[in-house]
Amino acid sequence: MLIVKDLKVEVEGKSILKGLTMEVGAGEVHAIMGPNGSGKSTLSHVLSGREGYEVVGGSITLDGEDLLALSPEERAWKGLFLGFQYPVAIPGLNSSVFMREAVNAQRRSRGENEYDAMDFLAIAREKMKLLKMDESFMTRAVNDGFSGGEKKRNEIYQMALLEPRLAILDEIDSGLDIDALRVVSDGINKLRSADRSLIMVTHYQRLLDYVVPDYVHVLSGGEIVRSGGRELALELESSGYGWLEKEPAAV
Amino acid sequence: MVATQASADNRTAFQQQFENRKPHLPGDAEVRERAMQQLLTTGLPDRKTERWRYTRINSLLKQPLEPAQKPATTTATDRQPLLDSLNSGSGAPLLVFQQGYFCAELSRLEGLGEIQFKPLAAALESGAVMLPEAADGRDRAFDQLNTALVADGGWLQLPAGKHPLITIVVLSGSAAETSYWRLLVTAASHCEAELAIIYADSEADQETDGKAYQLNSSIDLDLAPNAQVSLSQLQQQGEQAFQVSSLRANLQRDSSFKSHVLTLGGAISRDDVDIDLAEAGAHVEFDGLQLTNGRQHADLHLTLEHAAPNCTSQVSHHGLFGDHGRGVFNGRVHVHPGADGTDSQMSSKNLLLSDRAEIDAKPELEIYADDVKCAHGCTVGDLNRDELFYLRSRGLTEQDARALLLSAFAAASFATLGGHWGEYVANAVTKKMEQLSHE
Ligand SMILES: Nc1ncnc2c1ncn2[C@@H]1O[C@H](COP(=O)(O)OP(=O)(O)O)[C@@H](O)[C@H]1O
Ligand SMILES: [Mg+2]
Repeated sequence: MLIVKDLKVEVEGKSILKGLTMEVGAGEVHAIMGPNGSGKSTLSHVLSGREGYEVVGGSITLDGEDLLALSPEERAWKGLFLGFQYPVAIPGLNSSVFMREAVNAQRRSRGENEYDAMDFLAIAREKMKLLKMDESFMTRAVNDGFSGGEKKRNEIYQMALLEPRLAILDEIDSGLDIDALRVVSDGINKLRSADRSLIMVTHYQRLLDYVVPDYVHVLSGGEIVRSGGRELALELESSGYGWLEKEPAAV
Repeated sequence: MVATQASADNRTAFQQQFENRKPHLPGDAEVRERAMQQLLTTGLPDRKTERWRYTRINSLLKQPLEPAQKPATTTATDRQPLLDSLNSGSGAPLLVFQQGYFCAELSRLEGLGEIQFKPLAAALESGAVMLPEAADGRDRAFDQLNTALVADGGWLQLPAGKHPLITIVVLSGSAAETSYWRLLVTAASHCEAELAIIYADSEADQETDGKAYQLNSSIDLDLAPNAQVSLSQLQQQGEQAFQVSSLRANLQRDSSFKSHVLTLGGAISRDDVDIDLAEAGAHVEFDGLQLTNGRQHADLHLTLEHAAPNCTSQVSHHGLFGDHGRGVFNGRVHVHPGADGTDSQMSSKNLLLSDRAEIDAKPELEIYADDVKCAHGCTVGDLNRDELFYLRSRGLTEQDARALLLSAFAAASFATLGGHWGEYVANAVTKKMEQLSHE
């Protein structure tokens, strides 16, 4: 469903992704691992349409459609979701208001009826249970004063509400203690399904003990240098990233 | 200082108003005489008055408007829907003033409970209270005028204990005149009270109102030890109005004062907020919001006197300016010698929605104590790109994302106002935001 071909991306004239190729089929879970600065977040951002990145070569298609021609919201309407490595806090914006607007925007785009406040509340409650979130969360401002763990939980909650077909989770495990990691991974596992693909971006293999991927790719210096099954992650854990640094990571 | 011809003239005009009005004014005449004398000596703000640098009012004062007279007794007003919406069966007290004069017919005193209220005229006549001395200086001319000319307003004594919200509606006349209004409040030890003030004109339909009128509002508030008071002011004047408001709060030991100044209406508005953290452990939270468009001009001058040890203050100002809208924010924190352990935070965040909009925001810190934590920040710009992307990545169009973020930006400044009042404020802001983003 997602095909990335020979993707070359520059940021402020600096080459970050240097010909990245990967393919994700329906229902598959892919892990992208790599040292800091290898371009993992760059890939996540380019997939979701963040500005500031220049695609200088290659292509990205989702179900045959050119993703790069679409705005971020159009990509969301096609079922793409990004779980942010650093979700922003927005004081004054009520979490429930935001998510109801988001869910309804997506429903509108598909020609479906919008949820009213009551409908939404019922659905939101159910999804919050999935993530073991407190009801008080509904009345709080988006990520405002949230702990690192709460922010990441909130990302998965949003994913649960938006029911994407392809979710890219950028270091969803960073900043989580072991309990929070369990809750978040449980949530992700419950959201796995035959028609939902996942790209898990992570620095550490720890997450992959909980959310077991079908494929693992190693990103280094802006390219995928190795791909394999889940055992590749374990291998990386014991040997570290040192072995792949033919050239030092550009930082 | 050499007075210009114009200001010398309008001083005389104000003096004439005072002489005409004096025989009918309630209470001690001497404090009024002294206030008038201060005005005659120092004059009105002009181009060289530092605290009025960005707010030019010369043309407004060239021919001073006459002070409003007490309106004929009335039980009906175009503002009835507003009053009803504020009351909405809550049974909470409502104090209504017209042209600065207390209007018993439109007010509801039943819910006041233990709270003592008197119209200011009656309180001054009875000698129960005196007008405080007006502050010195050209920049305080409107305080001096209020002290000299004000005929009515309110006097509130808040005893210990928790009280219901008191809503106060100050309606200006829409005739070309100046309404003077004064509120004196004392909050006893261990009192918990909330005051909500709305300024509006007496005609419901602001869009069609083309008349220039003025309101001079002045509030004095004393917080006894451990008192907790919240006072929020929402300004929704007509588009030709000139409003000057001053608020002085004196905070004794361990008292806590939360205050909002939310400016949506008026052609020119000026707020002077002076908070004196006079005794140890006092705490202030202040939120200012300015939303202007058209040719509106809103000016907020805030001064915090950290005069005692271990006091804390949090000041947050938000400005949103569209079209030719202008804003001025001056936030001064003065930490006196010996005010050790002061913790003061101030921020001013501003969004300019058009090339012609303008904000002059200036924090001023003066610190003469040790062991002090003071932080201040000031930003001016457009919406945050990361926030916009976050919303769009969830499926909101750029336009919807912008609208939501603008509302959130404004909402951050009244997030702590709950209940019916919070909703009223939110609706008023939403309505104003629609005007702002449709230009
Ligand atoms: N906005 C930016 N401006 C300049 N350099 C950037 C920007 N974003 C990322 N980079 C650079 O791109 C490289 C890859 O960054 P990133 O994609 O965040 O890596 P990762 O997520 O794998 O840690 C790094 O060298 C980083 O410094
Ligand atoms: Mg990253």
